Amino acid sequence: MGKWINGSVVKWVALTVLVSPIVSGRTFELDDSDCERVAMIASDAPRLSWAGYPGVSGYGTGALMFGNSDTRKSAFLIAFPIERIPKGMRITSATLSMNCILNYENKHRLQVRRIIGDWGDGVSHLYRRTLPEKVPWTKPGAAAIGTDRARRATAVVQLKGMGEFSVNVTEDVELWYSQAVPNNGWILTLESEGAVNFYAPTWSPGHWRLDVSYEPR
Amino acid sequence: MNYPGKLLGTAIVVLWLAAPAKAQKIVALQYIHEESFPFIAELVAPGASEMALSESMRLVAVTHKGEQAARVSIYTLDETGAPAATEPMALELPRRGPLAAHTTYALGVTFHPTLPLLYVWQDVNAPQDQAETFEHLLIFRVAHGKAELVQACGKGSDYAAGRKVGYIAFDDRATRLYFPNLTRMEKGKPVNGIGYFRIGKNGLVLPEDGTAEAGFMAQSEVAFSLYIPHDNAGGFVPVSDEVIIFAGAAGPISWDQVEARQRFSYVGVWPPARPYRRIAAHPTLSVIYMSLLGTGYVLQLKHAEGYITSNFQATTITGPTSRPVVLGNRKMVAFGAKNQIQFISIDDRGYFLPEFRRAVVSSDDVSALSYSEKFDKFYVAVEKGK
Repeated sequence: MGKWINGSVVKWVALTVLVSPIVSGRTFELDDSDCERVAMIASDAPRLSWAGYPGVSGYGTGALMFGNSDTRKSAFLIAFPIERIPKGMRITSATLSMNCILNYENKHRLQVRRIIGDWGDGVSHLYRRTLPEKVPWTKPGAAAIGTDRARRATAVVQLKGMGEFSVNVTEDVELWYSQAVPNNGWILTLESEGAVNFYAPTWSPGHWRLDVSYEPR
Repeated sequence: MNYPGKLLGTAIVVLWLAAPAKAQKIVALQYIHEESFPFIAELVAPGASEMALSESMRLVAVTHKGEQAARVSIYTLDETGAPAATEPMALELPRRGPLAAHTTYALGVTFHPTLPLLYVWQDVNAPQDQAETFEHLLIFRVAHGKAELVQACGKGSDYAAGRKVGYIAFDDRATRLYFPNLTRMEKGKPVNGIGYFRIGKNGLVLPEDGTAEAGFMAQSEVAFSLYIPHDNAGGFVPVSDEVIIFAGAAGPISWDQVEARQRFSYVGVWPPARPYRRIAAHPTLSVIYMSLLGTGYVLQLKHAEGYITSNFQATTITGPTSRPVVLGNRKMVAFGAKNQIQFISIDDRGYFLPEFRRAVVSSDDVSALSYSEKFDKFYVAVEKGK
């Protein structure tokens, strides 16, 4: 047995434990399938929670079409359940990732902001919730700065081409985790004029991700 | 196990516990054994396909597949809701009009909520271009062990023939009867439609103005859309006069009858390419359930005033063969499968709980089911009695 204790197995175990998340901190990964509160709201379908993609006969969720035009202003809302992170931790980093599947131009900018107003079942362009009773946004589309959405943007994503994009959201997650402000998630809108498409959570789950690293305080 | 082995094993467990947390999308169900299900009432109905229940009339109507497809069996219930010890009434669908020689079959049935009327949606094996005289809706007055045809309508070139799925459903006030299976050519391609008949206080379909006496034309509203599936999905959930939900090939679809901009909105729900979907509503909550026939998947979704909202829940059971049936009193949702019924528990908000129970029944394809909240009885059509 002494041979084993002094041998390579113990060294491997010790090394593995040392580099393990227990010591160095943990990474917590959530994706859109973990989120109960998720929606695509749009000015052209003012009552829908899922105005994902405007088609010939109506709206679908084969994709999420972010639009910013005279006829369609849409926004994606998502709130990750970060309460699953154990208590007594310090957030060291948090990254929000998303996947663009259609982008004809390289000019587009996607803005990420914290949502201030509590929202939920029946959320739409007009209402931040419909159940158990209707509560309107201060301004349709959660557009009111300071009451519907945060004054300062968390990030602006430069959409060059398609594929995965990530933004640093550490400060927001720390705010929520410390309960300095309620976690009502983010609203994402297209700043630039035009349209881009992203994966839809109900149809292609797993493409909207939040990765949080934390360590004991 | 020696010391290094224990050390290594402990390290593996520690590292596994410390691995990134990845929540499961699919609710994992644990089987709860139940010795008996006293609330289940079996009805012997060979080849049963669908079922309708009338609590006020204490009747159950069952449609059939195969050789008995042109028949609806009507069972009487006693005062406790238990099946009466009498033979069911066999209602043969009348063969009428120029297509009398063709094979007809019942697809959907429902009762009027307060009047002694049974509504049967029927179809015919005939070429589409010859079927425009075929009356798809038959209304029978059922009383004293007899069924009398009192109205037949739902005909025209827009009514599809030869469909395999066809549900009908009343709205809450029984002023509209929703029906399926319309079709028309648009730009050289078939486009499907659905609609509703306006129903009068006597339970009959109202005539279009000026057509009551000569050449009755049913008063109806219809809509056509590329989103409406062809023969795969079925079921209506009328929510209000403005919005109803129906089963689409990729998920639930809301039909907004007021707001033209959002006339149809479908929520495509993972998993894709599972088009054989059935839908049903919770009796009191803004929750719907969906079964994906031929797969193991069943879904729970929320709606707000008929518009699907928030994320959905999914779980897996042995391949469902029926629409969902909600047992509100018992906080369960039932799904038929081969030789069994599976009851998934739900919480006060309608969410799936991680447990299910299984009742064994004698039927290869359990698809005709109903539940009575009033009698707390769950009715299932089986091939043979115990």
